[in-house]
Amino acid sequence: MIVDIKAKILENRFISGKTWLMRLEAPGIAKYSKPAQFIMVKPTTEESFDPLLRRAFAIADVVGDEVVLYYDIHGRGTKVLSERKSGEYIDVLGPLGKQLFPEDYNSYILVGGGIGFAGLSFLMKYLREKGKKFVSLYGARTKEDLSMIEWIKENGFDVIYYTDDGSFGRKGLITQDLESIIEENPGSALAVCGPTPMMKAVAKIAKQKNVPCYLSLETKMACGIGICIGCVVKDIQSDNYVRVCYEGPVFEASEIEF
Amino acid sequence: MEKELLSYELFGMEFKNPIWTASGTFSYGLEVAELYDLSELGAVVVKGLSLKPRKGNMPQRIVETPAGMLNSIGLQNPGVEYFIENILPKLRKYDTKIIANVFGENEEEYIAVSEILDKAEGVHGLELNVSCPNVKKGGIAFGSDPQVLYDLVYKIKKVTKKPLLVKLSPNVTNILDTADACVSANADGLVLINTLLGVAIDVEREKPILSTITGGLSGPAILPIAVRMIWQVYSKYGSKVPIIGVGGITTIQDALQHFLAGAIQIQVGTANFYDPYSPLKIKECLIKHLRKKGYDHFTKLVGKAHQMIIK
Ligand SMILES: Cc1cc2nc3c(=O)[nH]c(=O)nc-3n(C[C@H](O)[C@H](O)[C@H](O)COP(=O)(O)OP(=O)(O)OC[C@H]3O[C@@H](n4cnc5c(N)ncnc54)[C@H](O)[C@@H]3O)c2cc1C
Ligand SMILES: Cc1cc2nc3c(=O)[nH]c(=O)nc-3n(C[C@H](O)[C@H](O)[C@H](O)COP(=O)(O)O)c2cc1C
Ligand code: FES
Repeated sequence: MIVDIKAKILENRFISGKTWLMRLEAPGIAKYSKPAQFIMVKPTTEESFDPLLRRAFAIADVVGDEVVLYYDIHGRGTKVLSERKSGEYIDVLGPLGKQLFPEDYNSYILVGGGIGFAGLSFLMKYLREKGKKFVSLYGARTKEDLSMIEWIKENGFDVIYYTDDGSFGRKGLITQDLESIIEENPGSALAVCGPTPMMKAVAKIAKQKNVPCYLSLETKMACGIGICIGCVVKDIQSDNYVRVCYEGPVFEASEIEF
Repeated sequence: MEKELLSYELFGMEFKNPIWTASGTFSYGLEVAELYDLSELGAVVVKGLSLKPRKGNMPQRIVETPAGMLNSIGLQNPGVEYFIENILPKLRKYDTKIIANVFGENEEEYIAVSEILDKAEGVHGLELNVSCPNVKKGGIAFGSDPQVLYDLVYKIKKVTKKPLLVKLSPNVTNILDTADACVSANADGLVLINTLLGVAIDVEREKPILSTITGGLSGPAILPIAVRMIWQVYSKYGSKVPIIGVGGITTIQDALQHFLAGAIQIQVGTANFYDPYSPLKIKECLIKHLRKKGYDHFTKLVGKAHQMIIK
C-alpha cells in the first residue's frame, strides 16, 4: 500500500564524498517496503514549493519503523534536503515501484556503482534473511564515494570493493572481474544499480555470458506514481515506452533500450 | 454540507464539486485510484486520446524549471478504442464525471475520435486539445488560427451531442480571437489554459535538455497568465460562456484566483505530480473559505473580482 505521510527526520548527516544519510520514522512505509522500491520525498517544508517536484530515493534500508536513505548532493533539491534538521517532519510518498527483483533464483550477483549501491543494500538484507547465496560488488571513483562502507561493516556483509583510483579495494572498474565471478557462481542472476554507462557495461557482459541481468533504473521522474508518463524507457518487444516508476523500476536488461 | 456548497449544474448534468483533474497530469485516473477514491473529484479529464495509439517522444521528456516544469511527453496514448474497451469500464465505476481529452493530427482524426467517444458509455463530455500541430497546415497549431479552429469546432459539434469544451492554447497573441471562434462555433465551454512553449538548456553539456528541444511549461509559474486569460474572456462573455480554469493551481489561494477571475470549475494539473492529494486539499480548503466568508455557494466567488470594474 502506498501512503503519503509526514515522516519525522530522526537523523540527517554527512557521510563522505557527496553522500548524506537520512533516517526517517515512517512505520506505514517501513512495514510494506521491499528491495528496489523507492520513495518520493518533498525536499522543502510544507509551505514552500521551490524547488517544485519531489525527489526519488531508493529505500536503502529498513530498521523497524525506520526508513533509511543514502543520498548524494546533486542539485538544488538534494542541497535543500541536506539542510533539513532532525526533529522536523518531511513529506514522503511510498513505497513505490511494482516490478522488483525476481526472487526465484538461488543465488545472485549484486553490482552497485556509486550511490546506486543504495538501490541494492536492502536487497542484501533480504537475501540473507531468505537464506540465499549472493556475491556483492561495489564500485566508485574513489574511497569517499564508497559511502555505504560503514553500513556494510555494521551489517556484517562481505563485499568486493573497486575504486577507479585504487584508494580502496581493487583498483579499476567494477566490471573487470565480472566474467570470472559469473563463471564462479553458476545459475546466478545479476542485480544491478548505478550510473548508466556502468549498467550498460554490466548488461553487455551478462549478454555475452548468457546470464539474466536485472537493472534497477533511475530515470528522471516528476511524479513517481505513474501519472506523468515522463520517466519512460523503451520496451523492446512491444516497441512502446513504459514507465520506470510504475512498470519498473526493475527490468531485465535485454527487454529494454536504455 | 459539501453538496450544498459545491455541487453545480453545468451542461445539463450535476458536477458534485468544481475540482477536476487536468488532462495529462492524471493518466487515466486508475493509478491515483490506488491512493484515494476518485468519487471525491468533480471530474477526471483523461490523458489525450487519438485515433491510433501513439508512442510519444523519446526521453528526456520532463525537466524542472523555476516554479514549474517543461514536458514533451508527445501525447503518448493507447488510442481511443483501447481506452474505451480496457480503461473506461474501470474508470466509470467511480461516481465522478469523465471528460475525454481529444486530439488529432488533422481535422478528420479529431472528428473520428469525437464520433467514437460520443457513443462511449460513461464519457460525460469532450475536451478538445487544440494545441497540436496541424500536419496538413504546415504544423501550425489548430488553436492558433481562429478560422481553422472555428471550422474544427463547428464540425465536431455536428458529430457529438455530448458537451464540447475547447481547451485553448495560450501561445497566441490575443486569446479573445480564438475564444471568439469557439463561441461562434457553439462550443459549450472554454478551458483556459494549456501549457506555454518553453526551452531549457543544459549549460554543462551546452544543449537543450528535452529531446524535442521545446516543451510545454506548466505549474505555479503560469498561474498569472492563466488568471489573466480567464479574466479577458470573462470580461467579454461574463457567465454566458462557462470557463474551466486550469494553470498553476496548487493551493486554495491559486484556485480562488481562478474563480474570482471568472472560472466556474477548475482543474488541478502539475500539482498532482508533487502532491497527488492536492485536489482534495483544495476542496477541503474551499469549503472552509466559503464558511469563513459566509457564502452559501462557491458560485458567489465566480467572476467576483470584476465587480469593481464592470458596471
Ligand atoms: C527510482 C530512483 C531511485 C533513486 N535513488 C537514489 C538514492 O538512493 N540516492 C541518491 O542519491 N539518488 C537517488 N536517485 C537520484 C535522485 O532522485 C536525484 O539525484 C535527485 O532527484 C537530484 O535532485 P536535485 O534537486 O539535487 O538535482 P537537480 O538536478 O536540481 O534536479 C532536477 C530534476 O531532475 C531530477 N533528477 C536529477 N538527477 C536525477 C537522477 N540521477 N535520477 C533521477 N532524477 C534526477 C530531479 O528529481 C529533479 O526533478 C534515485 C532516482 C530514482 C528515479
Ligand atoms: C506532463 C503533462 C502532460 C499533459 N498532457 C496534456 C494532454 O494530453 N492534453 C491536454 O489538453 N493538456 C495536457 N497537459 C496540459 C495540462 O492539462 C494543463 O493544461 C497545464 O499543465 C496547465 O495546468 P497546470 O499548471 O496546473 O499543470 C499536460 C500537462 C503536463 C504537465
Ligand atoms: S515519474 Fe511520472 S510516470 Fe513515472
